[in-house]
Amino acid sequence: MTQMGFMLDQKYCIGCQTCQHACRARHGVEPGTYPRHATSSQVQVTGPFISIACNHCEHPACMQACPTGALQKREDGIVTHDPEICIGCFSCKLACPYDAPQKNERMGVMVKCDMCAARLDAGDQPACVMACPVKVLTYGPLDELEKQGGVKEGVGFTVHSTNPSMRFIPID
Amino acid sequence: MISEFLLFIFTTLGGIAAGAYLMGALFPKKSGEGKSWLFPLVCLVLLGLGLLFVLFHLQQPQRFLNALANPRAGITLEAYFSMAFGLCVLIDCALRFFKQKEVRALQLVGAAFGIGLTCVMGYQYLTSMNVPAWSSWQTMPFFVVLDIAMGAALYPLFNKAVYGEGSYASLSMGIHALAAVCLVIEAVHFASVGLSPIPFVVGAVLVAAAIYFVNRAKNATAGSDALIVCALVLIGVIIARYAYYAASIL
Repeated sequence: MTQMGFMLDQKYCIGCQTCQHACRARHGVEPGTYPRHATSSQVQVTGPFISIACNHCEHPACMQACPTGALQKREDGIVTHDPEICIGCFSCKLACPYDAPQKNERMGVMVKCDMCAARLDAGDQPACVMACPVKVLTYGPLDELEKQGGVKEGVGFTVHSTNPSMRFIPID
Repeated sequence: MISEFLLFIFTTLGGIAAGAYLMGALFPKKSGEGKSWLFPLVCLVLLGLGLLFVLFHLQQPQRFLNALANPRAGITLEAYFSMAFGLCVLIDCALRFFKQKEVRALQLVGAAFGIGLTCVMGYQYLTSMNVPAWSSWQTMPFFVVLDIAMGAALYPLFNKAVYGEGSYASLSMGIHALAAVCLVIEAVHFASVGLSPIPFVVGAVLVAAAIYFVNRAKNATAGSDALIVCALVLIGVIIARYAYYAASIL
């Protein structure tokens, strides 16, 4: 099975948080709710910076914890969320070691990165990848990302037992 | 107020009901004594109230039936075990009220579902990897043992003669001692993740103090010692459990 994932080149990430804001706008959630978390160069003056959303883990803890089946893993490994089924218990948020699921206060349900699955299906890119001004955030099948030099370990990133589909270009 | 207040109420009330019902099944009241239906009714009310509170924890309570879809999820398991436990207690209560009959096998099955409920409550928090204070093995005894301890402290209020039976008093003292140890273990764990261990230490002291009063209740005829034991254990566990839920990131 193909497993899609994100890859970040931390060496060249400038900590602008454009990815985070593009993601928030794409999901239509209020400021302060961020399905993607990125460190800011305005807070942390020097890098390396990090930008993390849902890691579409091989064994998603959120999916196991969700009592409703609102969280599902697609054929391409993307973990999606159906807000029409979600009961707003936030068990997924408690279960995810990366704090990826966020409260959508306005809708009373959870919101998380779905790698912009609808955009991908239409042949487009995820909003965060498209918005990155220095093109250090990319996406694709994990085997391809690894061929490009992606590794599991990143600065400020812990590889949990869920086996996250996140790759980093190592900092020399 | 803590964000998980409604879940705190659910696990506390449901846990007391499960623990007390277990004790009732293991040490049944002598037959022929009046109002035997009152005890299962109280357990049922405690569980029902807890479930009502958990409903309001949901942002979309009208969709609560969706929560039965994933049997691997802690919440789904809690729902199934609550239903099974509640059904057994309801039938037991009805049999006692209408037929003046107690079916021991039914009580034991109900008690097993009740203890199962305390286990899945622990499992729900044990699997919460986003909360380091919860996702450790100490969580399981924190729920299971403390729920049994609360139940063991409450049950003698409905069966006043039970402390006179030496085996109940001995078991009760053992459970309270174990509960105090579990609280100390949780205190050490909370300290290790940078959170205050004080509420757990206070809880441990109160639960340990209850052992003295159990020993006194064993030899005394006055009911006040049973009341003191109940108050000490419940207050001790509630203080600790409130602090436990305060560690939530929600």
